[in-house]
Amino acid sequence: MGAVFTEFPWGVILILLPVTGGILCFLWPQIAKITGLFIVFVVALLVVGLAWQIFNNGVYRHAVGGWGAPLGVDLYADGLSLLMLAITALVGMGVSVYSAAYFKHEQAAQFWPLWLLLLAALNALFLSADIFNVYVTFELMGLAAVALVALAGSREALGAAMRYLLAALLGSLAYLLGVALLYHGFGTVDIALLVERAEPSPVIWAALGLMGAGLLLKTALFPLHFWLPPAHASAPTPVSALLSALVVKASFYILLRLWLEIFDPLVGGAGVEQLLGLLGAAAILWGSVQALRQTRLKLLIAYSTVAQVGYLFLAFPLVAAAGVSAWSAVTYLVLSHALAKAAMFMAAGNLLCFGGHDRITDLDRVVQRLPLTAAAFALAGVSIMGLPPSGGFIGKWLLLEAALMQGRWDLVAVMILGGLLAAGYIFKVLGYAFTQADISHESKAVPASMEWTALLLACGAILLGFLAVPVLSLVGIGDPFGIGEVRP
Amino acid sequence: MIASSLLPGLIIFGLAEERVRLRTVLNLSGALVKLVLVGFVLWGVSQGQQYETRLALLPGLELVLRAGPLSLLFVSLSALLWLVTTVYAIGYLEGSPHRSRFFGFFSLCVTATVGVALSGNLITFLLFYELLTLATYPLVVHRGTEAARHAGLIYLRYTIAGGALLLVATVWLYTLTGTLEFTPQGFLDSVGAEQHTALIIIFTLLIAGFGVKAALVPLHGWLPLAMVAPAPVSALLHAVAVVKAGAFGIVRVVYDVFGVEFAANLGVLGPLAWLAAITIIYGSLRALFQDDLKRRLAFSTISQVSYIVLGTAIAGPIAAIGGVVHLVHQGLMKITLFFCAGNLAETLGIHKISEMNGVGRRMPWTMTAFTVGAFGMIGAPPVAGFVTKWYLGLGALQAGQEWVIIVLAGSSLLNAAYFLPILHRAWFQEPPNTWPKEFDFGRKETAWMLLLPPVITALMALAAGLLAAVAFSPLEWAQFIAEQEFSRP
Amino acid sequence: MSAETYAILLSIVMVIAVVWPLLLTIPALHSRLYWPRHLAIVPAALLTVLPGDISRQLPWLLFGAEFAIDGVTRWVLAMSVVIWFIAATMMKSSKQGFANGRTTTFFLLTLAGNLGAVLANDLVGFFCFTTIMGYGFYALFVQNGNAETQRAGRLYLIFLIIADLLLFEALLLAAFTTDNLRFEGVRAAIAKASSSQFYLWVTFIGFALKTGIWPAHLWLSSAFKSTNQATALLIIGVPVVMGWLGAVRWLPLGEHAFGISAMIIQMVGVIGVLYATLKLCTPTSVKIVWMSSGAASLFIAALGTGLAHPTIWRQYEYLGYPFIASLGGLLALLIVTIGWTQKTRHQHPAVALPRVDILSRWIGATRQWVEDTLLGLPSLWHVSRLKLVKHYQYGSHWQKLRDFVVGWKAAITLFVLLGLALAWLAT
Repeated sequence: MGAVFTEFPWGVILILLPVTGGILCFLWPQIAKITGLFIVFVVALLVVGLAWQIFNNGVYRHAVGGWGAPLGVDLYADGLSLLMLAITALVGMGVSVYSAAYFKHEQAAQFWPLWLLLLAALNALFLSADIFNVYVTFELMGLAAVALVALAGSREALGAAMRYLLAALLGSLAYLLGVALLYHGFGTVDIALLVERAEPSPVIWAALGLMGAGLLLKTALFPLHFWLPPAHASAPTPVSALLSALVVKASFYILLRLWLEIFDPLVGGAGVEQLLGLLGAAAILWGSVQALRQTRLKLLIAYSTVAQVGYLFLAFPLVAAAGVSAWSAVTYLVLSHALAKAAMFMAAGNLLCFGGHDRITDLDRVVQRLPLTAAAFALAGVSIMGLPPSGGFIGKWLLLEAALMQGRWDLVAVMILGGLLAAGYIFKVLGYAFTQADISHESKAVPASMEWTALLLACGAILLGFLAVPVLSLVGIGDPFGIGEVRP
Repeated sequence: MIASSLLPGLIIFGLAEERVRLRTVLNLSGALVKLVLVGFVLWGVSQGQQYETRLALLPGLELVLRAGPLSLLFVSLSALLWLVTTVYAIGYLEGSPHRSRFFGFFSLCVTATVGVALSGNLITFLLFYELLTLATYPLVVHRGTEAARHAGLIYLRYTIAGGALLLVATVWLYTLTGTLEFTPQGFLDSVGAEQHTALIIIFTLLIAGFGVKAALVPLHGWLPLAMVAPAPVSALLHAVAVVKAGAFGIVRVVYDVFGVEFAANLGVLGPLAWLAAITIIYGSLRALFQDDLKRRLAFSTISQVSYIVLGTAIAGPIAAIGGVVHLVHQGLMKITLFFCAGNLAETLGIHKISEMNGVGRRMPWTMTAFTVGAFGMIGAPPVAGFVTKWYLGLGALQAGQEWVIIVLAGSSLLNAAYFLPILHRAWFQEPPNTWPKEFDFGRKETAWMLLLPPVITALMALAAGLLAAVAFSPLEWAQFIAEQEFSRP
Repeated sequence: MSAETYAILLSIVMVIAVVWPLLLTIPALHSRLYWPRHLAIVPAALLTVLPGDISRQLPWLLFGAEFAIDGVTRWVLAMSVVIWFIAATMMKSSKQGFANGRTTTFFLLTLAGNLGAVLANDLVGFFCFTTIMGYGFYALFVQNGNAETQRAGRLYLIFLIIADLLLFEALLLAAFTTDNLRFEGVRAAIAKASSSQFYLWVTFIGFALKTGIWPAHLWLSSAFKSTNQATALLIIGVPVVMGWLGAVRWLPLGEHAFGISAMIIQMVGVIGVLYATLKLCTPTSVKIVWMSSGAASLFIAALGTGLAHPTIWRQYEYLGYPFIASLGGLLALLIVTIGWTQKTRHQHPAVALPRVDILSRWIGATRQWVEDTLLGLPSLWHVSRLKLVKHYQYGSHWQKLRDFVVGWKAAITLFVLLGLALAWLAT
């Protein structure tokens, strides 16, 4: 029995199942909802299975079709991939349940295939072991995401989707060029092999520059974030949640992988990480200030994402002396932000659905009228602000620890300031949620499942604050950061 | 122990607005269970037992809850006053909207306070401390008016910024020492002399962080504004939860993080004592010019809480007793005063001191309780405040810091100057023909749920002073704590 | 009854003497009793007549309080009991209803504080009870009063607070010097301590403010001017006498020669006596104020002597408490007499002491006494005598009263002379 579990090719199924599901949903729109939900839950179970496998066997590596490197398609999963898969499954479940109530009729028929496709792309991306494969999944993900944004159908949404499409294509293109250069130079696209073969040369510099720029564009690091707020704000709520929680993280994940495996050994210490850190800091401040200035809730949350992405990049300059805690911090921030941001967007969606608008100043006593949603927003906010007890706090704590170990006071100041600004924009919303608005408006009922999913995801972000030890030990599997045990 | 207030809190959130009885039962039973638990632990600790819970938070960092003497002092205070305040709040909010939410956050707030009290290391403390900030915010803005929202915003600005400073200081400390465990006499002995500048900065950051809640002088701005909250909230905020948590934090930092001797050697206690002294005088001076009763009490709190800080900063065993015991005494006295203020507002619609003429005739019991509380604040024997002042003064003499006595005397004088006119007005002026907004309570002076709590707390304040030498009195505990802090093993 | 049982009984009576009035302050209790104010004094009165000395420690009270009664304390206690009894009787006629209940409450509170202060045998206990007494008395004083009374009350309150603060500092000093806060312990310890001079002055000024001696007589005169009979009586019985008592108990008398400080205190006393005497001679002054102030000054002069010469004090120590008691009793008697005579004239009891009423007889008598004993200015005497005779054509009982007063003249003179002699001896 155990042997069956440990030998089962979980990873492959993880990718194939959603693809199949997507096609099914596309073909039979009537059963789209049921199928979609079913598939997402099965995917979650599969991730559990994969986790089991990784626990027992260590790092998972599977050559699809038996071809293997240097040219074949390899699947690879270590602790980090596993966590990303897990969070994808978790948020995916939440979003699916939410969407089941959110989308009606026509929209639902379009949503489910796209979403399952996106899920497949994400899973594939997290499992990829070579950079070309990553490109493929990128394209898949980008197209699905753009289509999802456009689902809202409004003029605004279409414009945003167009911009998003251009950014995504540009990013992918740059990335593809980089991949091509690398392949030309070293004859392989497998990450592990590349690491062995690569050596500093103009080719690799150019390749890395192109790939990096493409990824940064997709990750929406300041100042390349221009496409993100409109896209995230105007998309349908479940899509916003997906984009902010997962899609942005996916490109960051690749960046992180490449950085760890290829870039760092080659260009580390050349000031690139300092540049990234600087951009991260700028992103935090800019994003937070912009968020604070917004009058519409979803835009506020979108800018908050820009700021939160900045935190992730703060880790790069800190790695040199405090690798462990910096990377653990990044992992943690990614996880908690995924949960919290998804919850936040859902809460915003509930408010939007409830009052028909998302103007912050006109939130009319929603604390009384939608207590669960307000609680979800507040709990998610706690994590975003980095207040204890929450996943965001743990991440911030680790990051601060790393910064202080190196005496990087500038970064400490940015982090603290970012936290304060975050508190500013979140409580701005909550404050108005308590008071009566000038214009009282019609309210529509919000399905309970939508309220509860938001709340549960937010609770997840809070709970993450108590699970640091198991989660961080999970990350250590397969030693993705190349620094031995996570902490003595 | 924490669960005893957390669980009812969470359940109450889910309760419908109409289920008054069930909510009341839950609230009260939670408070009672907690009181019993505290009593049990108190007994256990006095028998030399150890109570500790650990939960790994991060590799190398644990969430520690430990029932030490200092923790227990604070826990018993909050457990006791929570029960009383719950009764009061039930009476106070009768018939007003959103009670489920109110009591939910109320319980959460107490949960956080108990967590703060029991936390066994700095990170646990920080965790509950922030939780407290978050749990009190909805209480501050409970009324949902524009003024409340504004006050809530200011409150958050101060506290979140303070929390951020704390976070930096805590992380920094952790990178320097690798531990955050509260230990009597501090855990910084091993830190080399070259790090002392860093430690001084850390100390400053910590004090600034806690000082926000303890309302030390440049950081006190939020407190008078937060008076828009309902009276039970103000009472709890001032007596037990927020302000006290800040003061408690400072006590913890000085005793269990830095250690008194170490801190004294660093030379950081002197400025702290001065800051506290300035706060004491400043708060009293400002209180003198307030006509709004609750605002006057708020400024009085600013002044009184710094007694605790002062007692800690004087760095002598006797002053320490004074500081620690004031933690309890101030709580008892201030909660009494706020209850009374709430009663006046709820029964007669009185909010201003100038409206209080002859109110003693209309509400003799309330005003008697108020009188006891006020005399306690002035430090007149035999109310509890006297014991505090006594030990602070004696401690100052012992530590050779005579200027503290002048500060104490000045503060007493000012206290008298702003409390006695109120009393005079209430007892000896002719009452007006009509009160601003009178509610009918039949023959009684007000609802019993409003009347009983202040009378009980006033009696406790009186007893804490009168029976100071009895075993298990706050003073005895404080002495026990001071012995621990000052005797090298 | 064995000696042991008797001791226990006595200490129970002692504690009840204090607790009983405190208990009765609760309106629900005293409103159900007949004569609650008198009843409250009964245990104390009982204690006065029960023979035997006793001290009882109550370790659970405050920081461990102690009550004691002995031969000398009994004098003061007896005086207090008498004064309170008279006051209770005189107050009987005040308004009914809430005001009456409130009066009783404050009355009993002050009473309890007073008795506690008399019986307390340690500094903290004494301080605590005098504080209760002080604020209780303030309440008793201002309630039902007019604007003028309230002003006077405010003045009293200010003096009281400052005095209490000073005494608190003294208390801290004492506690810092020694662990034994009983009176004799403090006296012995403080005399040896380096801070004894400071302690002396703080204590002295504190009690001087409370007793209202010159030059801190401000509150006393305004208080007397504005209040009624019973309260005026209590001014003597409560703050003034307790101030004297406190001074005797707190100051390290008979332990240490204080030299220059003692001299200054003596001088203050002597000047106070002279000043009061001069004031008594002016027709517009409120006589009773200056009587009391003069008596207090006299007392201070004696105190200064005691401080300067420990041996003298030790020699006459036993006289201290009877001296206080009789001075207090004497002043009280004066007031009662005034009240009685006024009653017969059906005058309003609130006495601003106008020149021409019955008190002027007192003025005449006192002036006569002053002139006889001190100034010896026959011309002045004659002039005033003529004036007085012109004024007083009231009837036979005035004549009787005048004789009565003249009879007391000797006693007052005696006391003044005693004080002056002591002062002389010191210098």
